Amino acid sequence: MTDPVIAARRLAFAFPRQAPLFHDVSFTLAPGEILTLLGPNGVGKSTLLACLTGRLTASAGEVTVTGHPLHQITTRELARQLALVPQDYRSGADLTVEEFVLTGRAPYHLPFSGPSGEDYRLVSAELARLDLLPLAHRKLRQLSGGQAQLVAIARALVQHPRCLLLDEPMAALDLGRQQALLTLLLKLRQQGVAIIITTHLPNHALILGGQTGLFFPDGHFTVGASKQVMTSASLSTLYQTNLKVFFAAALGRWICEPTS
Amino acid sequence: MHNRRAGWIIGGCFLLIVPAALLALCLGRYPLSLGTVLSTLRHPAGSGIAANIVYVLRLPRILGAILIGAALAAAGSAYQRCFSNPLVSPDLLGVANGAAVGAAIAILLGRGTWFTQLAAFAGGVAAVCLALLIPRLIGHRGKLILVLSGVVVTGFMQAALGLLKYLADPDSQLPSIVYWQLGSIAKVDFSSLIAALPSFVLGFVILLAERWHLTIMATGMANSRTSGINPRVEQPLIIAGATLLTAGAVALSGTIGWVGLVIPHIARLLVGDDARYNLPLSLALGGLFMLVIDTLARTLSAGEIPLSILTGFIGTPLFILILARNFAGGGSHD
Repeated sequence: MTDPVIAARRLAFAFPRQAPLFHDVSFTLAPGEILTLLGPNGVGKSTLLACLTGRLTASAGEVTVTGHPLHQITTRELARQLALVPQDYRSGADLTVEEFVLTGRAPYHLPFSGPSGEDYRLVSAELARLDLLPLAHRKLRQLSGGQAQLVAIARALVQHPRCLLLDEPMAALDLGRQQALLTLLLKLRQQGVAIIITTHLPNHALILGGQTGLFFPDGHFTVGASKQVMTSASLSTLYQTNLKVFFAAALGRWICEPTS
Repeated sequence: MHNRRAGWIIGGCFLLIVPAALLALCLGRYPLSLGTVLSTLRHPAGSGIAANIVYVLRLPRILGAILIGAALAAAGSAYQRCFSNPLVSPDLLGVANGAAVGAAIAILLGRGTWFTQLAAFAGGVAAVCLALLIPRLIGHRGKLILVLSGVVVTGFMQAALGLLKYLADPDSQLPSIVYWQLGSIAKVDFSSLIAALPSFVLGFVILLAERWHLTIMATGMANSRTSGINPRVEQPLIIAGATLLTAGAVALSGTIGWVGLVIPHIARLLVGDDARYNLPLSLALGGLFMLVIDTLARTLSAGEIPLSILTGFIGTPLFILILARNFAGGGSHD
């Protein structure tokens, strides 16, 4: 078995003077594995990602990245291992798409230096892969929500991370783009990238396979192989509504739909 | 590929400073022809009225104007990116007034120009720390809170400056503080320029070296972290660089408003928001702008017009345009 890229052990988090958001979150992710995080709004999915990337410090437990505890890794080194596609991808600066995606190359630049011709080439290639090349010189703030979402993904990908974290990347995308992103994620997984993704659509977890983590409203967390943890009963409890997981013969795969 | 168009614009603006400075050497209450100016410059050892005017009166003043404008604009561009907030500048954050309090204390104590530089820097650092502390104390972060906090610090520093003026000796110290505080480059000479030079050089070097990271920091704190930049290390360095530039400018010429806010936005219209291009262009445009303003200030009327009056009349309407641009459609105000 290969060394895990990222692992969490008995992680807990509470904002000051508030009840714990989650406790006892443990998982291990090897290269080429996918972990999908499901749970209702406000259970701490984004907070967990913030703890994993070092933006927030967990109140208990430990995160290790390639075997090293998070606090022992420099910000720069961490950025070469992990890339995050945040939920709020709007940028404070008025940059062009190309300039913004270039910022993803920063972990590889020496102090006091900037992007090279090679970096520009990598950025163009990544924009081309996501069909964004025609937008390269447009201002970020002129893009639609879905386009900006894809640009944020391109920015994370030029970082060449060993683990890619995506916080609800599908939220702004149309159905076609959602399918394209799922295909891209499966391809990245084949290339050995570990992936952690949060979503509100259980079907994405079923398509991606791998592991699924469920954040229950009471702060309880379960993780396991997607097909095992995603039952009609567990998902109905998770979302407090009647759901059914069943094999759709017409699609040839398992799906999850509301019963009412 | 790299932005070649931006390169041409930046180079052009830097080159434009040379003819502008030559023209400024000719203009004044005692007009000199371009030929006289050039020949005086070619023979630095010469004497006479022309040499006196060029070397003692106009050249230090012109160099001072260029340096002060470049410093304020570069500091503004850096503060805006470092705090990911297009509405801040050395004067709006209170840094300029803090530096003025430091410099005024030095003048009151009757110390030399070097001490004035140091005191101005200390005052500027104190002001920026206060401006950053207030949003933390309130427990609320946002672009407007930082601007309001700057307003509070500016008010406090102005009160402190008022107290210093009240305490100053009305015959000897008060006039020199008042004259300097109004914002004038008239008293700049070579010795005060040399005293300010280390602050300028160090500040420019720090900011230009950090310009790529400034671009990343402008995209926001969370984003810089995931790009491998530790804001806790780099923010203080950039604040130190920008505050050195502000303090250097304030110690020379008092507080000159609006340049640090408006010039980076004009640069943004020309080459965009990427600090790799915006910062050098702000520097060149700031120098050019201040040179034009100072030349107007000493030629428009028989007396000297304080610079802050001219920059205020130009800066305030431009600031309204900037506000409109940033807040249109509820865009990026938080």
